[in-house]
Amino acid sequence: MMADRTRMLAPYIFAIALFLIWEIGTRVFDVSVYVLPRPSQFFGTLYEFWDGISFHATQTLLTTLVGFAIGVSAGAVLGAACGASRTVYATIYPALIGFYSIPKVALVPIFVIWFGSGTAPALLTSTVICIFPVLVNVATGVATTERDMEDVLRSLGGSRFDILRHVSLPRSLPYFFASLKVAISLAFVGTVISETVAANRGIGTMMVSASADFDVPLVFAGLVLLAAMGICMYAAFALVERRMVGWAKRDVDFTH
Amino acid sequence: MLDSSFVKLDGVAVEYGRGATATRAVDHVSLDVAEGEFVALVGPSGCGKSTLLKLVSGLLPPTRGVASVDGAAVTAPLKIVGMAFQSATMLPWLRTIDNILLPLKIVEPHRQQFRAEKSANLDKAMELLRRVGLDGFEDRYPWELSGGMQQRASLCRALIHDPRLLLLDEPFGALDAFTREELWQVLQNLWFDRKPTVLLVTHDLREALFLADRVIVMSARPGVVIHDQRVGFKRPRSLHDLYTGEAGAQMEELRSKIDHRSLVGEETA
Ligand SMILES: Nc1ncnc2c1ncn2[C@@H]1O[C@H](COP(=O)(O)OP(=O)(O)OP(=O)(O)O)[C@@H](O)[C@H]1O
Ligand SMILES: [Mg+2]
Repeated sequence: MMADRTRMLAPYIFAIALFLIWEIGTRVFDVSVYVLPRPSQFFGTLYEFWDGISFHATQTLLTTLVGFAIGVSAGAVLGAACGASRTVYATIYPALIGFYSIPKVALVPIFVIWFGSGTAPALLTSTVICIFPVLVNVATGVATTERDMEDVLRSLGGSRFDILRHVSLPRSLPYFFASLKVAISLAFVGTVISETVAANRGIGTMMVSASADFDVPLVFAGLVLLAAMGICMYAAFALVERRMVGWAKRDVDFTH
Repeated sequence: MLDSSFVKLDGVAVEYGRGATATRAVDHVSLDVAEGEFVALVGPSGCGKSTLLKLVSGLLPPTRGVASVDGAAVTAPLKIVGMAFQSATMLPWLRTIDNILLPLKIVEPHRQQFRAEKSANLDKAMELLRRVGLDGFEDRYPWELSGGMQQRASLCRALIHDPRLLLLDEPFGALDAFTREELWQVLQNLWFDRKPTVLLVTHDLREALFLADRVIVMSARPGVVIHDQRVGFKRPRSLHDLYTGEAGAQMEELRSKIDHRSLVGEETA
């Protein structure tokens, strides 16, 4: 029991310790605020300008979640298709690899040409950045379905669609949830990258204008906020994962 | 001549793989099984018993020869088959009860009526679970059951849609002697209820004698049928019958075939 309690608290203690060392270090060595602001400074900024900051944070969060949702859906559908059909796999996979090899930042200008600067390019960037990890994982889950399990349905005269629905898709759920945790972090990256280049709201925009004003604490406030949102989303998906695919983890549960 | 056989294998051979690395699992197997007959298949490990079941179920095509069921050549899996695989292959994301109900969601005509008949289906599944001694475990996940319990659940799954042809691949392999003998009687009763045609693969000669009308003995790989023995004694059988009277002679005959031929294999003979 005691050990459980300690493990629950450990991450918080670690984070607090990190900020404490940071605070003390910057004070002791008298680091300039333009190089590395003290936690007390950027947490102060966060508190003081919360109204303005939360406006940008909401924009970034919503853009990311919508882009993520679209990207994940597309990735799941494409992944299931690639996993279930060799023909589909052989046809579209090389193109997908090529597409994935393009740095997503390079796409932002194109999105801006098409849709103008603003929310649309940010949303699209986070969408395209999410597709691939989900696709690869779902495809792996579907394609590695054990022959024995497929045979259970085949022996009953089940169609390929029956097998997909009753065996391959449920079997790939653990892979899917694992990919969500990667995809959500990437989605934030996509949104913020695009916001720094072409938007007038969002944390990315806020950080760019803050750095132009040499308001380094505000830049760090943006970073901390992004990290916090990332952690919350990750934790949310880990929770959903545990509820949905507990069968895949059995009693060996590393989240405890 | 009227062909009365329900399951018919005509000179079938099955090879896995192709070319130089091909493994011939069974060869020249011909077999006739009448409707409602209970046939046990015994033979050394690796001789192709599981392969034969997969062939009959339509999961595997023959390399040579023809397998037919109910007068038609088997070219794809059939809807009248219930199969219990050698490994229980329960789906780990479904509770035991949902695993057992799965065939009803797939096989016509149950599939259309699955929702409408939900409670009747559930009753039926619970009744099967009770008969194999798994009542109270319906809401557990398969990985919460022991190997033997999973096998029993897989037997229920094979039976839930009242198949006319039941293919059982060592269904009691993971059970202790006592539970096994109990389940022989359960299976005998289940068979009496509906009289499906059964092909049972087993390593246990007593199991074969207790349950089957006929015992087929296969040789080592590539498996061929080397002995086909009628088990004449009365039904229903009790465990008592197995250790007295006629059974002894039957056992003796089976043993002699297996000792002399099956372990040597046809390749070297
Ligand atoms: N998927 C496969 N690919 C290649 N070879 C296979 C495959 N399945 C079975 N074999 C080969 O076919 C032969 C027969 O296998 P099968 O599983 O039918 O044996 P069995 O009689 O059921 O054995 P056991 O009693 O151990 O279950 C074996 O020698 C095996 O090597
Ligand atoms: Mg076998």
